[in-house]
Amino acid sequence: MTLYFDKVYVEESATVCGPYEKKGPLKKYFDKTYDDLYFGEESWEKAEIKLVKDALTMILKKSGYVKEDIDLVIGGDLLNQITASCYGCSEVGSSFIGVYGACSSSVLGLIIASSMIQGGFIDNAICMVSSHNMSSEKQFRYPTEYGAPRPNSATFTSTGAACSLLSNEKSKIRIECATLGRIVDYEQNDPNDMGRVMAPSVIDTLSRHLEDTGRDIHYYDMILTGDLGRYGLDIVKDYMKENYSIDLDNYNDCGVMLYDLDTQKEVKAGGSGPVCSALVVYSYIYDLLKSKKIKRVLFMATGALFSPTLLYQKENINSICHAVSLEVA
Amino acid sequence: MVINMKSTKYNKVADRHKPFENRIYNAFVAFISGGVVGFLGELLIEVFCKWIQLSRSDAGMLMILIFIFLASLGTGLGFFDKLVTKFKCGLIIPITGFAHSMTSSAMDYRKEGLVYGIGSNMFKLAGTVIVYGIVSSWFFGLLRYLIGGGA
Repeated sequence: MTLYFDKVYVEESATVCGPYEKKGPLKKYFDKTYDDLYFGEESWEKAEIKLVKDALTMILKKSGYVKEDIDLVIGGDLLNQITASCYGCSEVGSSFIGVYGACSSSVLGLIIASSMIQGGFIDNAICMVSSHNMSSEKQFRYPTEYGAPRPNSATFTSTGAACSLLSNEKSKIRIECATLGRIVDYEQNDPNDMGRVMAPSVIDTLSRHLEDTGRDIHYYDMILTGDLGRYGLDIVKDYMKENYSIDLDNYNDCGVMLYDLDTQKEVKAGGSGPVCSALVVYSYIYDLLKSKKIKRVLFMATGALFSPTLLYQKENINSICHAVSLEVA
Repeated sequence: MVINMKSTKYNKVADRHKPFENRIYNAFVAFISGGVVGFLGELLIEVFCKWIQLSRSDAGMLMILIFIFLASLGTGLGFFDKLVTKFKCGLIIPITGFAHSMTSSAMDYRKEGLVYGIGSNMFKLAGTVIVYGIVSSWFFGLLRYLIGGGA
């Protein structure tokens, strides 16, 4: 399903990140960076909540809005019961929707907010996503101080929080259309190879988006996926060429862009987590669009829909990919 | 069936981009580092037997205690997980891995309190080792009784 919008604009954005992202090539685009992972808090979960609060404060400061001006906050993260969003957004005091689309939450939030603005129900909305490397490790994998060896295909959950303020007032970037993802099951089950797990959802959503809109792949200056990592990126390129005869030369992955994969060996195949795609798009890509270096971007956030419990019960890992088209207004 | 065909087609492409995992190198690193741990253990036992006249089983016990202490201390100070990532199974298989798993679990859940945090999560990883350690020792004990008459 593809939705079209004609009065949804990106007014402002704010990004806050941790030390690993700070060491990456996009450092200068972030609004606030930290050197440690606790941010002065006493647990990983509270540290993530602090990130969310920081990002919200930052976006209010940058946009000049006060809390009372905000109609809606949409938040998403990876913690159980999406608690980082729930606790982090409580101080804003506006209406709140918590969403879970795993690492696709960033675009999912944008689509929901855009639909409500397009429908005339609200004037503006903040879309927030966050993730924290350590709180995710603790929840999905091993204790944080446990040095479990990871294979080269593994991805690294990014630390940070990122907000986009959407509104119906004209600005430099507009959200033009969106394709909602479907739950895709290609019988993948390796939690240490998320690129391979999520690549099918990109293929599914991308092919449906092109079919729905009747566009050529080169209609877009840049196609970005959320967090496939370097091997997932290769799979998508190869598969699209072999089965759809589409040459993806304008394609990149946010998980690959966020870190310097040659020097930051600890991230293995690249970044992941809801904030991975948001950190790259809400800072660097928005800048490119604002300065008109690129005109049209297809932003496709990918998420793996699973829980460790169902994985141990021998279920496959499903994935989903939501796409949103960003344009210079 | 349709999905199966899709997956097969997809797996064919995906397999082409599977990153190379140097298992031989990993095994070699684990063999050497595990060997060094074993050597140090044996050295400690010899030292305890010779210098403080402990019996061999007491010396072994003391050596294990020292290794558990060192691994736990290293985990607490935050460098042991980096060593484990580097030397892999060379440090996971010996008693150091067991201590590391318990300490790291305890550290991770300390904010949830003594009961709901440390108490109920400390054996999160090590529990498996204990359960199957006990089950297999019971099983081998039974075998030994049946075959060797308990001797």
